[in-house]
Amino acid sequence: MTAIIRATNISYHYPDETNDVIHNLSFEIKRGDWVAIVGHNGSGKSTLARAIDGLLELDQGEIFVNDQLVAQENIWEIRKQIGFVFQNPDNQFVGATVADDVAFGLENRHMPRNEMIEKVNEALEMVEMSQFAEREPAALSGGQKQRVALAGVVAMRPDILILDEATSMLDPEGRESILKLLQQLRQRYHLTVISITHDIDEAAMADEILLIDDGRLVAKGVPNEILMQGDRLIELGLDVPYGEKIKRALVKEDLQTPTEYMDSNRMVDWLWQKLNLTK
Amino acid sequence: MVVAEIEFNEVGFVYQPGTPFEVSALRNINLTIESNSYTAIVGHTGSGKSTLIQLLDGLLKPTSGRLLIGQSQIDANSTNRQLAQLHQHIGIVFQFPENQLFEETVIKDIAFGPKNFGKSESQARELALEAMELVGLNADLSERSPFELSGGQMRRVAIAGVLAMQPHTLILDEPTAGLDPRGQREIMELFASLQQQQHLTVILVTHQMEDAAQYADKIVVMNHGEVVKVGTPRDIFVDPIWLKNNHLMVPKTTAFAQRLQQRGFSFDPFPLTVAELAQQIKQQLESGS
Repeated sequence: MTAIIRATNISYHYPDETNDVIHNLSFEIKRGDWVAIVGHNGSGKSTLARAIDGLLELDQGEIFVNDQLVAQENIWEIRKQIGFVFQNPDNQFVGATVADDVAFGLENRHMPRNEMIEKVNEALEMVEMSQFAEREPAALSGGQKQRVALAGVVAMRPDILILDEATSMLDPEGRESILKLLQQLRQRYHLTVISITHDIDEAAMADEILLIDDGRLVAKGVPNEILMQGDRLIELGLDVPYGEKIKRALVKEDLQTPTEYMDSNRMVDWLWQKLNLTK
Repeated sequence: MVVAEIEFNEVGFVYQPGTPFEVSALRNINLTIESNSYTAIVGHTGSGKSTLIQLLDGLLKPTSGRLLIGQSQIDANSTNRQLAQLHQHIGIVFQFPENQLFEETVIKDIAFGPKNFGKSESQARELALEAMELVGLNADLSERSPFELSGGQMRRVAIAGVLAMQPHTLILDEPTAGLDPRGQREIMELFASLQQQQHLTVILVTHQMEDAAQYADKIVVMNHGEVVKVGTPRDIFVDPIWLKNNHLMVPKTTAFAQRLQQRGFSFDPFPLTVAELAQQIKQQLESGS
């Protein structure tokens, strides 16, 4: 059994609405994979994350985490295995200092003080925020705040890390640094990562993409397959990856272009070869 | 002749002057922003952008130099009343403006500003309905609670609230943060058309260099509390090394064109959009450059 998360035919609608926010969704997420759940705002992707965390009572279907059925009886058992980082870091701080904040979850588990201090230090070191341990979280930049949030989550040693638009409030520099950090954390702690995003560059880093629209799974595959469907991405309110954008513009200029997915690097190489052929 | 709408004249701003915590946030700012222009202000976090827009909005006054906005002059001696008057004609859309919505209905929320500045109930309502139309919100939504709307719609309500004050200048502080790509495109197109059709002066503060390149007539680069460069998007983005030295991201198209240059392509003028880039690539592939 390699699936760490398995959802079968799940549906959910909010009590005061008639339409399903998620509709008959089925998917599996492999242990150790990075999966991007991609869709525009309001497509149902955040609701899906809440369902995995047992925050919703589903109308239909089942979700299994580590082969355990997500249900009211074992909700705390399930949540121990999942760490969340949300869009707005300001809404997730509870401590007066950065170190207190990272310690919060561990304290709730009644971890002995020495062990806790060790864990907090390690986590802060991992996210390169050790020198900020005694600072007030409010005084940090957006990117630094998300680093602290990640430290707090990673200190709890979850199997699964769910990022709900965790980079969408950051500037491009902050976003890049958080994504790089995620790569490192993922390897070091053998995490399964689920990133819920509408950022197509973030999605490109995943092993697999689930495209969600109107609460339905509309496509699923490796980034190379999904990201070359430019028309479909635009139709779903998303962006086209940069290399593919160039390809589309070249097609408009009546140039023959490769049929496979082109990221920026491959596009540069391909154009260079074309240029050499003309010489 | 172009009417100089906003003029910074040797403007400086120091936080907590005369104390051990004194921080100079802005130094020797000389800058002219023409009426009905679209200006982007870029610079990394802490470069002085936020202080600059707080001066424009009358939330702060210069500690040295003076600021001319239309007929009024703001300097260290300006009264709070003068600052408040400024505030009336300069609309500012802060980051995540939807966080400031508070009324029961969309229409009440949008009409709040005009009412607060002395308009009658019916005048304020009229202005609010006009503003809804400007931002593309259907009048059917006017009696709905703003909190029932989608994130993109809530942001439009907040922007309508600013427009209902009939400002001549609109300051936008990262207006698309947190929106999905479609929402970002729609909001940026909205501001472009407001500038052209309503003859507003638009000042965009952004980290999105692609937006600055695409929409602005003029870009102001700030670093360490000073204006370090002013120019057209092409002037600014032609030099990726300079951008990096000033802690700015290089727009994707600039970075891509630069990589192609290293591989034997040449670009003149330097492309700002994907379409321009593709045209120049085509020419070179066909001519054998």
